[in-house]
Amino acid sequence: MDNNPFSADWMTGWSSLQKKMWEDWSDVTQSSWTNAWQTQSPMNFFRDGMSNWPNMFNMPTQTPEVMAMRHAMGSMEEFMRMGREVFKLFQGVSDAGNISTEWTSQLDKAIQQAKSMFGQSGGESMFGAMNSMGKMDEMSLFWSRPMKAWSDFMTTNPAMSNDTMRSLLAGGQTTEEAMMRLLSVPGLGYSREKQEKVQEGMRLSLEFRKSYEEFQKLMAQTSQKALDLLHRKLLEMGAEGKSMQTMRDLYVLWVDCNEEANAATVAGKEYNEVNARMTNALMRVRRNMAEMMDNSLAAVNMPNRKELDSAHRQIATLRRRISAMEESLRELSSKDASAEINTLRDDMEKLGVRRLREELAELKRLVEESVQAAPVEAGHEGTEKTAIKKTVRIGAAKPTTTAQKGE
Amino acid sequence: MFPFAINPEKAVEELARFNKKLAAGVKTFTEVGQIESGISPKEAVFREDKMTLYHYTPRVENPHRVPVLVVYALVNRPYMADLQEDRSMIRGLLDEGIDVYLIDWGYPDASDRYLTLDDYINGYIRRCVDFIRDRHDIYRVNVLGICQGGAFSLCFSALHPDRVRNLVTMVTPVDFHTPDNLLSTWIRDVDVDLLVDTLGNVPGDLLNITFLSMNPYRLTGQKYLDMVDLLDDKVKLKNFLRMEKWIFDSPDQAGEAFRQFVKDFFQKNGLIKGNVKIGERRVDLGNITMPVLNVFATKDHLVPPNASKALKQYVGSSDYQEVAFNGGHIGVYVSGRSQKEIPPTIANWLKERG
Repeated sequence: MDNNPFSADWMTGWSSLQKKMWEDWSDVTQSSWTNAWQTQSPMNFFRDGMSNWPNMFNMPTQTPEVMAMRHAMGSMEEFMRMGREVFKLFQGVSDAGNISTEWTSQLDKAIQQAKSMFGQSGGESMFGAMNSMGKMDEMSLFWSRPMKAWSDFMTTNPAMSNDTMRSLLAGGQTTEEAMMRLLSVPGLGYSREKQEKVQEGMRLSLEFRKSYEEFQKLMAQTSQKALDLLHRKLLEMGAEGKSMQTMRDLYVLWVDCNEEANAATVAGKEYNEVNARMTNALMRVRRNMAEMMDNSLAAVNMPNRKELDSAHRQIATLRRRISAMEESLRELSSKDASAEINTLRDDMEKLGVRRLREELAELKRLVEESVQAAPVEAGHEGTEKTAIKKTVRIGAAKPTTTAQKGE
Repeated sequence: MFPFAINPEKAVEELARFNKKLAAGVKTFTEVGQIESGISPKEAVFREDKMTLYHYTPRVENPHRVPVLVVYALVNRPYMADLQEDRSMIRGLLDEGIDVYLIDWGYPDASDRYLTLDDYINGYIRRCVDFIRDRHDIYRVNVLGICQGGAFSLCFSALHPDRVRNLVTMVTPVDFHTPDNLLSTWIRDVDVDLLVDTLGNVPGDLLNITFLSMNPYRLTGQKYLDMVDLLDDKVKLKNFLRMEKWIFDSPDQAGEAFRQFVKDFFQKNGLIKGNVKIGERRVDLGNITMPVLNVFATKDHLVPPNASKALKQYVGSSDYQEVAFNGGHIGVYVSGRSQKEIPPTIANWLKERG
């Protein structure tokens, strides 16, 4: 094996090693599951094993293959969680003793239990949802993927994230009380404006948290509807004598139910309003934070967002002017000058300039000839007359030539 | 009857099988190599700022004399139209003897925050069209607009009808207020001024999560579980990863252009109302008098068919034709069937019109 840690050879060797290790481990654990079945959920083995996988792909790069593998890991984890929950159900049914009659009540119980997790969200406190988000166990996170996606997005996106945003999402009653106390203090003295800005920020934060709670509540209701749908479909299957053959079938059914419930929610007016309120509230918080940051930077004579925006606006204006000038230049340089020249020639033609030139040239020639032939010999007269006649013929349109006059 | 014919042993076996596939997949992942973006040979013939105009190498000896300019959306990257050898609308057009140019908008950064729709349409697109006109010594070129690029192409054709010979629009939104347009209803109450004033450029991730919210469980869960079934096939995995790369390859949106597009097109539905102004001029779809081919997808969840089909009522052209593709917004470029149907249809339509 090549020792260069970046060579393809090394990568292949490394992955083969990992693969072999994983397969061996898989075989060992599989054989133990059936024995462990009655005492604990065999899915725990999978779940624990799964935690090794992301480490393999814990690389700094975000190539499509690494990202896809990470997503696959995430989905696999979900699949495993589902497996565990289903096994709990099996366990419950098995404990009840009579599968043929007890399964519906066990299923009711399992569904109700899952639904109750969402019932806790958005409880009495304004921050109930936020608190429960932090305390949600893996099962409820599994059922509430869109909320998690939002939460992840807002805390990891460069445009959104910073410590303040994290604290906004993870805050609790203590933070709420502290905020309310701070908000009640009137601005005072030299830093009055700054105080007011901070207070405004806190007020906006509270608004955002409230809107986020609304959003979370709506999505929790959607998850409950999805569970009801799943419940109904399972009962229908039972009534029709149909059954699922694989865990995958169950997973697909679960996805279908969630998509159906989600589609109904996101197409509704309430979702539009709640989603827009949350987005707008988040932007207000961000803007307030950016303004405070701008003021702080300006206070220590550092460039801030406002200045950069101004510079960028000027860049855009300059670009437009340069483009316009370049186009004008191109237009000028590529203009077909021959057409203009031809037009000028035509004009000259109309003015008879060419004819005048020819006549002038002829005259010059005649003058030169006459100078050369000063001592005229008798035999040469005829030639001169012929030349003069020729000139007359050329300038026939304008019978005012010197030659004519001379003739 | 108990609806689970899955006993614990069977379930464990299933999951173990699945697990092994995943393990085997690690090796396949290391073997797929680099994920290329765009496969047909092309040459950059004109650049301005971050925009590049590409000319694809013709695949026939004497291509059709009027080239087509492909105008892609600002959202996502244009190599979707040239994804892989057997899934490439561009290649299909080249094979049909069409000379193809394509605008790549690049990745806007903070310095592009003040680019407006006027800059994009009367600036970049017009200069690309003029470049092609000069290069080929022709008065008018064919324009093919895709999705948001289709809306841009409509604006351009309405503002500069003397430069466009034939116009093809693909999965292009025209009426933004059809009841089934989820994106439009979601953005209706969002304060876009506040959004852009706060964020400057709009992050591509924000758009991604919006698109994913339409089918969150399928697109962020089931899809990857299904991927595990592909892990023993290098070619299939590579194709999957190529698509994956495209989906998440989302440039940020230039703030001012985004503001105008959302407000005027999505919120006010100005394209069909004649209220959109690009630069100093109002866009009147009635000025589109050149032949128009409108391709839409019957199962498009992003641009519902009715949003595209509305074009018929508003264009001034007497030569308007629609093509309904039985598929979705992405399938119209990459599905196996689309390769057989779409490029030949477009190419023949263009050739018939000289």
